[in-house]
Amino acid sequence: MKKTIKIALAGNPNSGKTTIFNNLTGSHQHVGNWPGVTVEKKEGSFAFNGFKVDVVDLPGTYSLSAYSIDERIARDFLLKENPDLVVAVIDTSNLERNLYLVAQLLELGTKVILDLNMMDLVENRGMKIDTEKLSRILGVAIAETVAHKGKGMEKIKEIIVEQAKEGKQSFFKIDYGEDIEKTINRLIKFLKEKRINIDYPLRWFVIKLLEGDAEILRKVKNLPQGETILNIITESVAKLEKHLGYDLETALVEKRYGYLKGLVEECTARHYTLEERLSISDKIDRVVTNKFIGIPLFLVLMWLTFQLIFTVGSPVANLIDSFFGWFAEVTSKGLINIGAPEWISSLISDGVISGVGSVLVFLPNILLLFVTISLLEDSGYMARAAFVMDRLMHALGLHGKSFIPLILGFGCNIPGIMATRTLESKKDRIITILVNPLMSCSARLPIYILFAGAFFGKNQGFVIFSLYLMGIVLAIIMARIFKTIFFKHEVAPLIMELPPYRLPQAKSVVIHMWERGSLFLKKAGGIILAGVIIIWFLSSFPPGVEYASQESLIGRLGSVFAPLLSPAGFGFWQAAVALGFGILAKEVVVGTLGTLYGTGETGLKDAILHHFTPLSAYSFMVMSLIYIPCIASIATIKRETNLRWTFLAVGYSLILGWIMAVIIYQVGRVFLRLL
Amino acid sequence: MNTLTESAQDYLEAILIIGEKKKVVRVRDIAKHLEVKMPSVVAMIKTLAKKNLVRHEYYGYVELTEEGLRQAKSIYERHKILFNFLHNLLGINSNIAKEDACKIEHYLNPKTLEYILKFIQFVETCPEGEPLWLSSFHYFIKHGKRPEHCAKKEKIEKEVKMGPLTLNNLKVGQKGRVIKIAAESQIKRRLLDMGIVPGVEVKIEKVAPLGDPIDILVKGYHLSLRKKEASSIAVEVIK
Repeated sequence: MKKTIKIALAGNPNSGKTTIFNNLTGSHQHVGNWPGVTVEKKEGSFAFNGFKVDVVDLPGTYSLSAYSIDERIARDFLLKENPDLVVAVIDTSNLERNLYLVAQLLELGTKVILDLNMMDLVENRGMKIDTEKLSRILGVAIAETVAHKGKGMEKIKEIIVEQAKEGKQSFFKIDYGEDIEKTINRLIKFLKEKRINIDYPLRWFVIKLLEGDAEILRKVKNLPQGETILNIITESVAKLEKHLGYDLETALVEKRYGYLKGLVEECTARHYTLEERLSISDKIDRVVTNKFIGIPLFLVLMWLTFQLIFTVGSPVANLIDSFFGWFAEVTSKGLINIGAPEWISSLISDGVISGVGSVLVFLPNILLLFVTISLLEDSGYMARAAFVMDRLMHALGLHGKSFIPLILGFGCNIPGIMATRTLESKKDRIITILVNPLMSCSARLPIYILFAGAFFGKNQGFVIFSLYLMGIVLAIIMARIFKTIFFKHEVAPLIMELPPYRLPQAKSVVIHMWERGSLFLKKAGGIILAGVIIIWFLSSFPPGVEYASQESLIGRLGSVFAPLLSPAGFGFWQAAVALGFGILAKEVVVGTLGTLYGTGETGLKDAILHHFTPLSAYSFMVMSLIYIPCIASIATIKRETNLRWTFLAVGYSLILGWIMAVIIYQVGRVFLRLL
Repeated sequence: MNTLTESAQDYLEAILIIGEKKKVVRVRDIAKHLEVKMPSVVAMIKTLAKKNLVRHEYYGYVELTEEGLRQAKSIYERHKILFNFLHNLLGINSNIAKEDACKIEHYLNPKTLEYILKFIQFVETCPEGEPLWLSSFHYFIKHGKRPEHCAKKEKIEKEVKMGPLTLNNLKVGQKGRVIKIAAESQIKRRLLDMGIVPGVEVKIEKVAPLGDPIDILVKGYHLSLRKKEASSIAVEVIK
């Protein structure tokens, strides 16, 4: 009979945890969300020796102090879900800091397997680790791996199964020194005597109370005797602090690190100095973050990113586009030939097939985007980019890391918004999310290409660039405004590791790309498809009207809203309807116009040349850039924040879009008259 | 002086002030100045004359004796000091300041008065003119908030809690040992978790191209911090 084991992977960011996860589970993994929050939850499984092992990949954290969402999730999972054991993946070349998390896991009373990852780096440096001793002192089983080469994976599976079957709980305990220990023991005794029911390991609980852990303190407050306990804690802390000469939280962390320092010294044969580590990485850094080269290099890399995504991706996208155009036509003809009613043929070709086509057409760009992102992230460059750009981003009231979600926004705002999870402070997250839709995503590009191509000929590149630039400038202004209004007094620190450079692994790049690509198909695909079919429906009904005529439902809706748009130069019902459906997904604007002018994509250029002027075409593009995040973005914003911020995101962009379009059209008109 | 009642003191002061403005002091002037009735003035003048503080000539002029002048001047001085303190230093408007100075002056212990006087002198003889903290205080009164340079809590904390040397003061290549962290609790915890604990050795590795943040080596890895965070970490230089 198959037995199931539940394990979790914990570890610092950049410890190779994700690679271990991929190696363990292979293709048996899926991405979801942690309940109630928006942090990604990766789960997978593998079979070994007749056991089925379910693996949960915890967010990468440095600590379990519950100050960031990631840390809280990891901690809550360990406390509430009680996995059979936790595999702590650590970067062995940076033993001491990585062990800090392990110490916290052990204090929490979880059963741990220590995975000494990146053993090759250690061996290359001629450093010896006495794993037996380390295992004995910590009271845990140890596995050695080189994840990116797949070394040690069978062994670690064996250890996991073996430990889950019979391994004992570690007796690990850090000695915090006489005074603190006395207090800890006194408090444990007190809690035991009072028979206060706590779901946590007592010693851990007391230590957290002494540390002033906000979440635990809140929990205690709600206990029947909460007030009494809190009073005793406050008193004890005050007494200890007076004795120690500084605050207890610092003292506890210091003791923990002190213990680990001793441990590492005892278990490693050669203790290296600060400078010896990371020498190659440091040499690279000397160039990458150089005073003069740093920023130009960053810009070049961003340019390359864009070249890869658009220059390489777009031809493939065009190919997909024409394939679906051809397929829709053939199907339509075929259906009519076999005697299907015209509306059925229309639904299938104009609705379903072109709907699927308009989803898939973005896939090449999006896959390439995530390849680049993954390369930048896995190589360690992303942190350098944040390091180089932080001063600038900070001046905008944001964080160096905010630049990543904003850049992602150029591909698609949805991953851009989702990437704000890397930001620790709420302020940075909210502002970055709010201005993210101003980063002109690739779904808006078809609109620009259509209009700029039709009206601006040779200058279309420049015109499209100006729209991207306008988005960035507006994002800067809005970020400042939001910061002043909502987060005036908040400070968010930058405390970020610059991990050693590493060669990205093809396997994890591919997995990452595929994960994100399929996520896009799932999250956005359905909505876009539904949008196209709704358009088809609104265009075809009430029954008997000519497809997408002014008498159709869609035409009537457009006529109602059109007058509102005349100050912006496009006050006709087709434009209003197209914008309305652009809410479903921005690129739908193009398809809608094609449908409404009855031309399809091919004759659309001539149709808009007839209806727009260059100026109103430009103001229409500006409107399309700003006026509202697409429904998938709105849904993502709602998931990442709350209803209030979502309303704000929708409301401000509608107003701003209209104002900008009107200003451009009106000022432009005056200007043209003067010329 | 202690034997004199409050109102007696007021009379002496009034006579002095009137005498400085006019050549002679009449009972009528005093009554007007203190807003009392003439007979009251006459009665008080008699009392004061008995104590040999004033001379009252039959034709109605009142004059301070030498002792009376000394005491009146001292009372007047106190009044001026208090008025100064209230008006010039705290910035209370002159009418209220005058009125309150009159009320307070009788009750203060001479020692208190002496310290207030010294305090005023200290402030007024500040070589840079009005001290910054006083301007800040006036700004605070006027706008209900601190001016920018003293608005940050951390800054005050830093100045109070630690010596001048913090991590951001170190130069590239310099090494230091962490003494203490004085940041807001969440930031502090993060720094602690990352291994910035008292006693740990840090080295400034480089500064970002735009001058901020900085990159430090700690416990064998690179950590980047803004100068602002670095300024909450007290260090000592190690060679």
